[in-house]
Amino acid sequence: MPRRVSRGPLLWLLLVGLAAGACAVKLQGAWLDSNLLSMLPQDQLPANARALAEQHQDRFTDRTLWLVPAENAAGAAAHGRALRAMLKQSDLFSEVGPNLDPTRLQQRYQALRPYRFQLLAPRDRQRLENDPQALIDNALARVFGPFGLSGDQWRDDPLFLFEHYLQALAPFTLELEDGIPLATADGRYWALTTATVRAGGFALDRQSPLLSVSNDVQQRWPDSLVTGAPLYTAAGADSARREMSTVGLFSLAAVATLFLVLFGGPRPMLLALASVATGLLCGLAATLWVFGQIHLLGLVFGAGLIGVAVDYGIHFFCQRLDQPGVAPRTLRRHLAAPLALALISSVLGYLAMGLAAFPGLRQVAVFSAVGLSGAWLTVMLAVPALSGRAPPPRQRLLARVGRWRRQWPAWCRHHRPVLLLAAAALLATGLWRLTPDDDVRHYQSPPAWLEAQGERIQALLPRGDSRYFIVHGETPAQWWQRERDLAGELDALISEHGALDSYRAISALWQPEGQQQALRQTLGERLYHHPRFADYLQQLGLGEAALARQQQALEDAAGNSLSLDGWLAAVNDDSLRGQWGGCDRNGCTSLVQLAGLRDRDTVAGLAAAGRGRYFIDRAGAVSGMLATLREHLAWLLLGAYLLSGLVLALARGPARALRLLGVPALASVVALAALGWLQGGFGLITVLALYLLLGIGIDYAIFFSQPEKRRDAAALAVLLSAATTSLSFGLLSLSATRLVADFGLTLLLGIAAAALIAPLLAAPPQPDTQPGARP
Amino acid sequence: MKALIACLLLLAGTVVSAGELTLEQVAERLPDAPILRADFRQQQHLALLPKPLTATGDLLLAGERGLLWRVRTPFESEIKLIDGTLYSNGQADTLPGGEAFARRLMAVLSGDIEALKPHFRIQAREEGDQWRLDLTPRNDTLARVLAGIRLGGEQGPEFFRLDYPNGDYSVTRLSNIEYPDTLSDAEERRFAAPR
Repeated sequence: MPRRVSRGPLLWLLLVGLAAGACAVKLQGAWLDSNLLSMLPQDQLPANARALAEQHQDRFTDRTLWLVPAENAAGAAAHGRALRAMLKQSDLFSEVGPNLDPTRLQQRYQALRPYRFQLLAPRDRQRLENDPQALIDNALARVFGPFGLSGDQWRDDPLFLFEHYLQALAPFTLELEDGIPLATADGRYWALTTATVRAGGFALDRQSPLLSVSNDVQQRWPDSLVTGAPLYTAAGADSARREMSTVGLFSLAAVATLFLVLFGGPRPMLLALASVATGLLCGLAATLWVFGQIHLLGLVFGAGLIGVAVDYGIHFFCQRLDQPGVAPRTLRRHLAAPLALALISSVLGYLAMGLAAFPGLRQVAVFSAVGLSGAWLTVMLAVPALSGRAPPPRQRLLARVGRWRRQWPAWCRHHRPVLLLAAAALLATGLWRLTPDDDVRHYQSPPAWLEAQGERIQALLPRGDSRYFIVHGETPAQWWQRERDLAGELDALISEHGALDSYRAISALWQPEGQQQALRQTLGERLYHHPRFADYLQQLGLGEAALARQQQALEDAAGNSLSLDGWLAAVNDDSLRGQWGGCDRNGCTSLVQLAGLRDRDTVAGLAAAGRGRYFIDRAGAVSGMLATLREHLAWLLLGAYLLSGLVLALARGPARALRLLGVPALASVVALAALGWLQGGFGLITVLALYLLLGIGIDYAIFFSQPEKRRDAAALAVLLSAATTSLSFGLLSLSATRLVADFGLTLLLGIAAAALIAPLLAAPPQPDTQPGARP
Repeated sequence: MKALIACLLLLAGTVVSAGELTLEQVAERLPDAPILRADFRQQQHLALLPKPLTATGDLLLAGERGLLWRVRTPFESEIKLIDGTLYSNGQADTLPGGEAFARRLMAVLSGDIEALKPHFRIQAREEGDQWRLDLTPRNDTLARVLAGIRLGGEQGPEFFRLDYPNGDYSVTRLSNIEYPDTLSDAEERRFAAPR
């Protein structure tokens, strides 16, 4: 009945067409998401606070920092200019700078000078409150100290309070030569350049050029240093791309060669690839329609899971090899039940993964489940009709595989005591050596030179911590008071616990205008109009006239006050401006930077959403999330086993289901123990590998549990599948990135173990007497 | 009158040309000692003050660890600069000009020519049996607050003069200079307890 046969391929074409159309529609916009953080649940931040946090994050994610040294300032500036020209020429950067105005500190001095009685460094404010005499004593110590003193400065600032304030504004000042900021270290001048990589987000095509530019810079200035997140991303993307393409090409070549050699002719190979491609297309289409976008990691993991889908084709063609006389349609009928069982148990396993409260994993789950179904449908609908003539007989190969299939369990039974003892010992010690590893840094392996330069720069330039607070208030007044309270508690942590070195908060340097006036008032009462101030002037040999002049200056400043915006403009500092999120209908928000954070948990303990403070620790959050995610997934893996077990028990009875499930379970234990022996870390990615093993192991088990007469072909299919799959994942174990290597290793060992265990557990001990009775 | 000026110019000329000295020669004369202990007498000439401010006291400079500066007259006060942090009279205080300035100050006190070279143009000469160094800031930022530094001595630096752009200047002279190998226990304690 040729019409019945040809309906399958038509349906398949329809499926492919639908999937392709769906992809085409969705691929118009921004469909690929590469931000690692979007894999994770969102922070519970108010809207404008999140905008501020993201803006701050962008400063880190897009910016590169370059340093070129020279023996003197002019030389360093010249190098800096040449470097900037080179960076600009590369056209990779949207902004190359900074060009600082050499008079900017003078300008700041002049802009703030009228308000010097309204602005005090936090420490001086405290002393004015508690111990004003200490301010006088310190001023005297300063006058007679080693630092020197010029009359011009003293006249404006007799107690050095303004000097303290300006210092608090700019704790780390760079020297300028011709507008180029210079840092001095090791007796050399280092010209500083920051360059912002063009267009935020992920640009695969723009990552490698960045590395080649940094290479050129390194060649021209061997002592130069560079750091910045884009370089790490570029290096990571480069190695990932290299590894993925090597693995992809190699496994493709391996599958193609095996198919060509075994099944004689390109048709089976092309059909197997078509089933994988259909699976990928369906997975992509479903994910795009459900989520709107697909995450890069989802794509990569999903594609990895799809690698299993090639098995369906392998099984079909192995049966074809074994029974060349049987019509493809009949073969399909024989295979339909076990393949469906394998599919359903795997899909349920992957869907269980999607129950985790992480958007990224839901994508992986949908992609895998739909993708596997697509591959299965291809084998069911299209492959039998299109499979063409039977492949050349391979009786000798099948006989040899059959011999192995029968003798291997017999050998194991014969040596059971020894084997069990050795296995138990090796497995137990291996599992005992296994340690959890959720450090997000192990997901990337920056090249050694990049890490070394990053550390050098860290030593040369004091830089802030990547962790910070976001403070939010409904009104400007509430925001200020909340930030001020937080700052007070941070002060306590600094002096009492040494939990951190310092912080930088706008509220520490700017007070609301009412308090500015109160401060000037207090300055008058406790210092300028207090006898201790007259005494101080007298000790410097100054009399009434000088006193009157100073007091007059204080009076003249009455009524001067600075709004926050006015203050930010006067200070004219990019980093302070970057800490202010502004006010809108969602309230006001700011960022408090931290430095020298030693006791993360104590500091993080100050966070309180009810008081509008949020502690942001992106890297820590990612590592923490990965740990939570690993635990979630480990529990869900148990759920996946239960679900698969249920399906298998319904189809084959509880006792057989247990034996079938034993294949992936034991293979997983073997893989984990081996990982323990090889000093691998047990992380999220290992758990994902165990999900893959569940699907693969059940496939192998189901095929070994087929009726006896089909079992030789099944054994060949399993060995073939194990060879191709472990080949491709085995290559991953050579990856430079540690966790990717662990992933590959887990799968390599697990698949090998599953292939070896399947004949032991899955095959019924007695030859099957009811061929083809129950699926 | 003209003759007098000519005479003065001639004299000045002879003083300058009397001792040509290279930086290396000065560096050779500097004691290779990590610790400097001395009494000081500091005079600050500020245009706005009716008479110079005079302070006396003692100082202790211990390599990388820091500087202890104790004023005895006209009243007692103490400044400690330890590991880049400033303490005035036992209280943590703001470091004028930041850590970079503090490092340069210590380099001046110890006559560390190598550390000063990147920041100043340095001219060396000889006056009597004393060496003299004239330091001019290379950098605009520094030049705006400091016109120059002069220092000199027989062995290590014995006097410093700081000149400000507005004409104010200060002169510090050291006496009873010692270069001990180690700190005394009492000095160790002073460094250990900044407050």
